[in-house]
Amino acid sequence: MMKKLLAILPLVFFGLQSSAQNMLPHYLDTANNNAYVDFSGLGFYHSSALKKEMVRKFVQGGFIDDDIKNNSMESMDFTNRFGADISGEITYFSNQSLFHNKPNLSWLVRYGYQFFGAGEFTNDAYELLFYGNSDFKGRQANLSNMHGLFTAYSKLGFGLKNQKQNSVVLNAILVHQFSRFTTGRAGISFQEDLNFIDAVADAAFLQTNSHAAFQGIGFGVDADYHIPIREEGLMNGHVSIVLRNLGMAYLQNVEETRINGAFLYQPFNLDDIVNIVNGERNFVEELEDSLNFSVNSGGQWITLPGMVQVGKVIDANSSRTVQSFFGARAYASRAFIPMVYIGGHYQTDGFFSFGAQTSFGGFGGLRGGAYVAAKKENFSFSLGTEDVLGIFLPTQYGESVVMRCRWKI
Amino acid sequence: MTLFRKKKYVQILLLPIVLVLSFSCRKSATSWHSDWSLSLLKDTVFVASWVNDSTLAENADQSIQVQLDRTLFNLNVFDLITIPDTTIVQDFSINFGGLNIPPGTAYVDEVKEHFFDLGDVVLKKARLRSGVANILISNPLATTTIFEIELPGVVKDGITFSQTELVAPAQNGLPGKTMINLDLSGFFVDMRGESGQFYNTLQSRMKVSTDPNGPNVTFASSDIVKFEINFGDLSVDYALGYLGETSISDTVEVDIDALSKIVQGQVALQDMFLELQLINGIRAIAQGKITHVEAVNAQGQTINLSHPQLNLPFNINAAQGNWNNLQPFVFPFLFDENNSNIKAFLEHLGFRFRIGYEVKINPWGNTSGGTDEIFPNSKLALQLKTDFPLSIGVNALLYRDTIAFNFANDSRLMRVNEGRFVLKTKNAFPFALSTQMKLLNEQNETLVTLEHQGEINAANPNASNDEITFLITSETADLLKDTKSIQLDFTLNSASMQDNKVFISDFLALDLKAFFQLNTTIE
Repeated sequence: MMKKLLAILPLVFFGLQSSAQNMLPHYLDTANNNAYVDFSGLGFYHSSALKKEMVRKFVQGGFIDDDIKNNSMESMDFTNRFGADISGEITYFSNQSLFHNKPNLSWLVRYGYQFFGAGEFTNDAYELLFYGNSDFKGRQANLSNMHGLFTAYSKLGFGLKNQKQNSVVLNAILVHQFSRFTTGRAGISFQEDLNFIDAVADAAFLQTNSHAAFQGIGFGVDADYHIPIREEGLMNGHVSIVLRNLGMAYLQNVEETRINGAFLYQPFNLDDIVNIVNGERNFVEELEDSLNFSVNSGGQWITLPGMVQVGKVIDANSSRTVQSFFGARAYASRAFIPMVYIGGHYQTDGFFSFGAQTSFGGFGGLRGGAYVAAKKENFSFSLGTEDVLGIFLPTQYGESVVMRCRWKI
Repeated sequence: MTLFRKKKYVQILLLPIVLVLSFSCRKSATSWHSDWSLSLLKDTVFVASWVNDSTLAENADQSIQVQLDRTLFNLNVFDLITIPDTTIVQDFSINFGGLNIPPGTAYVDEVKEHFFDLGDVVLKKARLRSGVANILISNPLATTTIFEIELPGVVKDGITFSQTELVAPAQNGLPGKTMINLDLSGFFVDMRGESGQFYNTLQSRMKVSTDPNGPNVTFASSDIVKFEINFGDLSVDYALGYLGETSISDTVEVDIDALSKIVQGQVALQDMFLELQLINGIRAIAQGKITHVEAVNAQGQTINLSHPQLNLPFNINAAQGNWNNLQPFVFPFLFDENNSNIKAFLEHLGFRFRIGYEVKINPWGNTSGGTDEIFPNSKLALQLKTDFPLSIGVNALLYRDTIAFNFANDSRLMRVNEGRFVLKTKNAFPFALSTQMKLLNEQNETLVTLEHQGEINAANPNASNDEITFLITSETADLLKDTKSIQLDFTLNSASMQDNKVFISDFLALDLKAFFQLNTTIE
């Protein structure tokens, strides 16, 4: 029952689809004295080479034809990156002070859920996986230094916040799933006539290995800290430092499969075939022995794919119609290169405001984003994307949806 | 909040729901095709590598001669002599009491003879291939006693077997005891007894004396010096005597599995010559009989070999010579196209051969005066020898084999969509080969016959380069999950039915590659 409930809860949140406030221009409202509830959520995938049309096939299903494969193949470098994050949070910010002697210090509670996956892969790995080995005759498929990670976890936290909207939250992390693979020196060489296949592999695959609802437990820290800046023009405002999900978790039972060795495949001769048919040779065992195949189980500490973002944010109470925002963002993932972004915000006379931004880095390259926000009395809502072209063009490298909803109580 | 406002908020909330659902809902499985190729087999079969292995030989014109030399049975002649495990007790006592024995007194020196019951076998001399003697010595005196055990006539490297043991004194009325284990293998044994006139007899000599450094002791009338030998696991690898009158009869069955796969077709052999040899390597006369020779082919049809001497008794002389120059007596049965139906017999393509035989050793009793002799290299064997050219005409010879197959091809992640096997060959043999492959289900019913193109042509006279392709269509690939075995048919035809010689330079090079399209599916 508990497991079902835990599975349903995040879906409810995604259904409501709150969104990651960090991905939208951050409104700083230091004049707010009300208690309020924030729903925030995001969903994005982004790659340096995989086109949207291919990833969509994994998301929605369907047959990946040669055109789709070729389009992504043309964008490949020697190493390529991919990442995806689907997460949501609901936070209740109280306006009740916790301590008599610190009336500005109130509390907040938060529940959140995150699916996160990221990895780096070589163009040869892509080619081998999607095209097969037929075009590798006479050359080597380089599979070195690849890695991938997927995790899903819930968090439940309690924190403190002050009037300046600075906050810190300590979350309990409940890991639902974790898997990771890495390769060191790895590759497969195919002789021109396929008479020799020479494989070298130093690789490991680790995954949680339990039927329990929670595969592990840990802690994570979220924090928001705002530094006022006083410059003339567009620069007037605050710099926000945002930390999300920085922490660790202990997985109670993981199974790690390792190979570390070399294997030379040669076509069989007639004696080999007779011996295999008679059961005197076991090809699979020989392969495992040559590659030093091993499987180990036990507990293990992991780090969470946390995020840090530093940047100038939009002042919700500013009288300016145009404000700038910019900054940089980083995930605790080897596949993510620090992303920089810059954008402008326009406040209309009415309820609505608009904005646009451009960013570079992360799991891919250059992207352009846009959003729309509405604010009326105690309710505000923002919806946007960090990849406008990705919404419309199948040949882009990702898609992004971000939203935030705030209800002042 | 007004109703209008509520609706507006609801609309705003519904928008992301629609977006997210469209973003995240998977509608079907993801799949793609990839093309793979793999070299499965690469080998070359050379006739030259089979020559000089006692089967094939090379003629002056470089053609191949089949010179088979196989032992069909080889009787262990030493089984003719069975020596049972035997225990011998030798003891010594005195009839009067109170004999005072000073230190160093020898008071027993006795030789005894022990008879072994060997049925009608008479052994005068033998060499033991194996055997142990476990000796238990019992000392009733209150002083250490020196036992010297000797087996007269049991000799190795010219030295008679003897062993000296010190046995502890008796204590508290209990005799001192010692157990000795002796290995008798390799010893020659003269079994004619002390007089040299007996047989099947082993001597033992026991000498007992008291410790020269011990005390005076008293030998009471109740004291018994005991010496118990247990002979076990005795077998011989040389024997002289009379081996008894022994009859042996049996039917030898020889299977040539490869021939059991030939289900139809004809062969034409030429210049056939086959010889059965009954070899007697023991120095005793015998009488033998080859009762029948028959062959059963894959269709279960039996053919009997005819020959004027079959099922008639024949005398087998004793071998000549001895240890280093033993000359076995060889009784030959020669089968050729003039005195037998050997050609038809072999063209019957039998895979199971049955040869019945009878052998009587010493059929007329002990006519040698006890001089039968078996040496370590003696044998009584039936040998098959052939000598004919490997010149075989073959017409539509169908070789069929069925191999177990387990490749479900129903993996949800990967399955073979379609593919082909390509066998490239270079054939220098004067035989053509066509093939057919069928997938069979659990009930051995044909699911599909694989489409194929090409065949291997016979060399004519130069080696032929050919290619055979088997196609795995998507329909065939779907059947792989139900396939439990694969039936392989090879149809062989010779370049000609006469003088179709195989030469030492003939070879067949094989290069089998698989090309297949994998369908990867992620649910």
